Amino acid sequence: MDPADEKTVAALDSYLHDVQAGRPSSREHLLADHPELAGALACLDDLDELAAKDEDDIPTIAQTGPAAPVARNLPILDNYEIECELGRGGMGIVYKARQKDLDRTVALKMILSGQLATDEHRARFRDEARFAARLQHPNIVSIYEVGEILGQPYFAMQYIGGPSLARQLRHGPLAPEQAAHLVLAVAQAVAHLHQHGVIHRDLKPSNILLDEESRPFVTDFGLVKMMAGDTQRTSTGVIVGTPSYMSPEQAAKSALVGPLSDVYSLGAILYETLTGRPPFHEATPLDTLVHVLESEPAPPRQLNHAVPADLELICLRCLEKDPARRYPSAAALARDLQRFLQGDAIEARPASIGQRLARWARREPALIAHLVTLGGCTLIAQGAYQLSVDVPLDFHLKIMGTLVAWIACSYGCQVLLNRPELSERMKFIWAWLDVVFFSSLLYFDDAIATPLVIGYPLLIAASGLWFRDALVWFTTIMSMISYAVLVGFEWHSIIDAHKNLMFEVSLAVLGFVVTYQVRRVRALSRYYERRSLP
Amino acid sequence: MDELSITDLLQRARAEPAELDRLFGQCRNYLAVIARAHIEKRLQAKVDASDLVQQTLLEAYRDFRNFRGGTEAEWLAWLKRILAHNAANFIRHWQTTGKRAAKREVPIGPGDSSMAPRPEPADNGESPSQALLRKERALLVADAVAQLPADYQEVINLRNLQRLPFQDVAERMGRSRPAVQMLWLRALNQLQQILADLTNASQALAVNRHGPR
Repeated sequence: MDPADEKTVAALDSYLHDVQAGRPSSREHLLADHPELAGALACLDDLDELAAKDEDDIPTIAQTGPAAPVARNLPILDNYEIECELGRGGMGIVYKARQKDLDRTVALKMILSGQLATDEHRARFRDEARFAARLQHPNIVSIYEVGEILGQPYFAMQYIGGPSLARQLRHGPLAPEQAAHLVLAVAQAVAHLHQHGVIHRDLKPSNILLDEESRPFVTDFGLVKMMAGDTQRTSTGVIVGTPSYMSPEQAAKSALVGPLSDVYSLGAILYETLTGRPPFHEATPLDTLVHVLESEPAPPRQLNHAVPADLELICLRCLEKDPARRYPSAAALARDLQRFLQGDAIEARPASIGQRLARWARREPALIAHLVTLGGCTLIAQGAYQLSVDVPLDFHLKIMGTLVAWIACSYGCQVLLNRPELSERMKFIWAWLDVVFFSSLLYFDDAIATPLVIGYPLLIAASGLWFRDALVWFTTIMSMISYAVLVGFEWHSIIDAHKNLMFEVSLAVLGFVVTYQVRRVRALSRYYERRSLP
Repeated sequence: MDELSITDLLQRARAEPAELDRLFGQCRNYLAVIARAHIEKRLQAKVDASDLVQQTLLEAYRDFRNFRGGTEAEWLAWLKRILAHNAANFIRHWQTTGKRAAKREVPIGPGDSSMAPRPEPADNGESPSQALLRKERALLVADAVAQLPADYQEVINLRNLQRLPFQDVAERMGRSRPAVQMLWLRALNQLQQILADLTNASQALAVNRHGPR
C-alpha cells in the first residue's frame, strides 16, 4: 500500500472508530487537513446508519443471543444494569441501562467528577436536578431519578430510541410543514420550561432526540446553568460548544441571557431544519462567533425555495439580534407556528425598508463599506467639479469612470464572495482590485504627494477584518508595490526619496501590526475551540 | 410523470394493491443489507439472509392493511420490526439446530447471492428511469451497496455494518490486514461514485417533477 493511501485509510478508520463509539467526531479537524475526504466521510456516516449497533432497534436479536459484552470499568449501580454506552459529551457519559426494580430501559447520565468541584456545587446541582425532575411534558425527556454514587452524580432519564435531530438533519432538510410541526412541539416544550423558570441555554439539534414516530424530545435543559456557577469550569473544559445555535447575547457572554436566548436558538433550529445548515457555520468557531454577533443569515428561501414566505418570516424574527425584536416568548413563537400550520395570518410582519437595509448592511458589510466610501468620494469629486472652473471635462470623466467601475467591481466581488467555493479566493481578488483601483485614481489625479495616500494604510487595516494574516500580507505587499510604481512615475529628485521610503516602511510596519492582531485573535479562537463541547 | 416518493407510493399502494410490488421492490436491497449485517454480527459467521428477507417481505405484504403510518421513516421502521421478529426466529433456529442444519437449509459460501440485485417481480417492464424514486438516503445507500462487487460488499459489511475492527475483518476474509484495508478504500471510492450517480439521477427526477427553480 502506498504511504498516501495508508494515511487515508488511517484517517478514515479513526474517524469511523469515533462514529462507532458514539464519540464526538473529529470531522471538522479532519476536513480542515483533508478537504478531499468530505465525500468519504459522508459515505461512512451513511453506512453507519445501516450498521448493526448494540443498542439497535432490532432488540429481539440482542435478547436471543448471549448478553452483549459490557465494557469494563463501568460504574456499578445497584438498581441499574448498564447495557452499553450511548455517547459522551463534555459534561458526562450517557449509558443505556435497565432499571431492575421497574424493569424499564433508561438513559443514565453520569456527570464527570471534575465538573462539580465542591460539596456546595454538588448540593446545588442536586437541587437543580431535582427541580428539573419535576417537569413533565410530552416533548421533554423526563428525569426519573437523581442520585450519587461514590461522589459522582448521575441522572436516570427516559430512554428515547431514535436518533437526535442533528443526526436526522445530516440527510438534509425536512419538508417545511414537517419542520414547522417539529419546531412547534419543541417550542411548546421550551415554553413549559420557561413557565417553570428553567432556561435551556443550550438548545441545538443534538439536544433534541427523536423517537420512532419522529416526535421530538428536548433534553439536557438547564444543565448548563447548573454548571454555570462553577468557577472551575474554564479549566476543566466545559464551556458551551459550537456557537452556531447561540444567541448573540449569549455569544457575547452578556448578562442578558434569558428566555429570549432560547427563542433565538429555536429559530436557529428551525433554520437548520428548513435549509439543512445552521444560520451561521463558518470554518472555525471564531468566524462563526463573529458572524453570530455581526452579520445576518442568508434568508432561508434563498437556500431552499420550497420554504413558504411566512415560515421564513417566523424564522428570521426568532433570529433578530435585538431580543426585543424577537417573539416575546417561546409560547408566542409556538402560537405563530400554530397559526402558520392552520393557514391563518401570522403575527410576524415583513421587515420594513429600514430593517431590510440594516440586515443587508450586516449581511454584506464589505460591500456596504465600499458603497458608502466610494459613493461619498464620487459625490465630493462631483461637487468639486461643479464648484471649480478649471477642471477639464475629460479629466473629470476619467476620475468618475474609475470610481463607478470600482463600485461595479465591488458589487461583482460580493456576488462571487457569497459562493462558498469561491469565497476564500475572492477575498484576495477583491483586495487586489481595491489596490489597483485606488492606485489608478492616485495616478490619474496625480495625487501621490497628497493626503489621499492614506488610502493604502486604510486598505491594509481593513484587510485585517477578514482575520486572515495571509490576506493582510498580500494587501500590504500589493500596496507597497503600487506605491513604489507610482513614485517611480513621478520621480522628482533624490531629496524626497527618503520620505517615500519611510512611507513604504510605515506600510510594512502597519501590515505587521495588523497581522499580529489577527494572529492574537486566532490564538484566542483556538483556545476557545479546544474548549468546545461536541 | 412516474416519479414518486415512498410516501406517494404508500398512498398509491393503499388504493391500488398492484402498486405494492413496486413499493416492496424499492425496499428489498435495504432489508437485505440490514438483515445480513445484523444476523452475521449476531452469529459471527457468514449467513445467507435472502430467505429471511423474502419471509419479511411476504409478511409485510400480508399485513400491509395493518400498517397505519404514512412517512418513509414509519414505513422503514415497520419493516424493520417485522424483520426483527423473523430474525429472532432465524437465530433461534440456527442456534438450536446447529450450524450444520442451517447450512443444509441455506446455501453459504462463494455462491452467496443474498445481496446481489435480483430480478424483482416489481419490475414488470418499467424503464430504469421510472424505477428510480426520490428515496430516503438509507434506501439509496443500500441500493448502492448492492451494486458493489462481492468482495467490496463483504469488506463494507464487516467493517462498516458489523463494525468489526480491521484485524477481525482480515481474519474473517482470510486476507492480510493491509490487503483488506486497501480493498476497503477502493470499495469506499466506488460506493461514493455509485451513490453520487444514484443521487444525481434521483435529484434530476425531483427537479423535473417540481419544475426548474
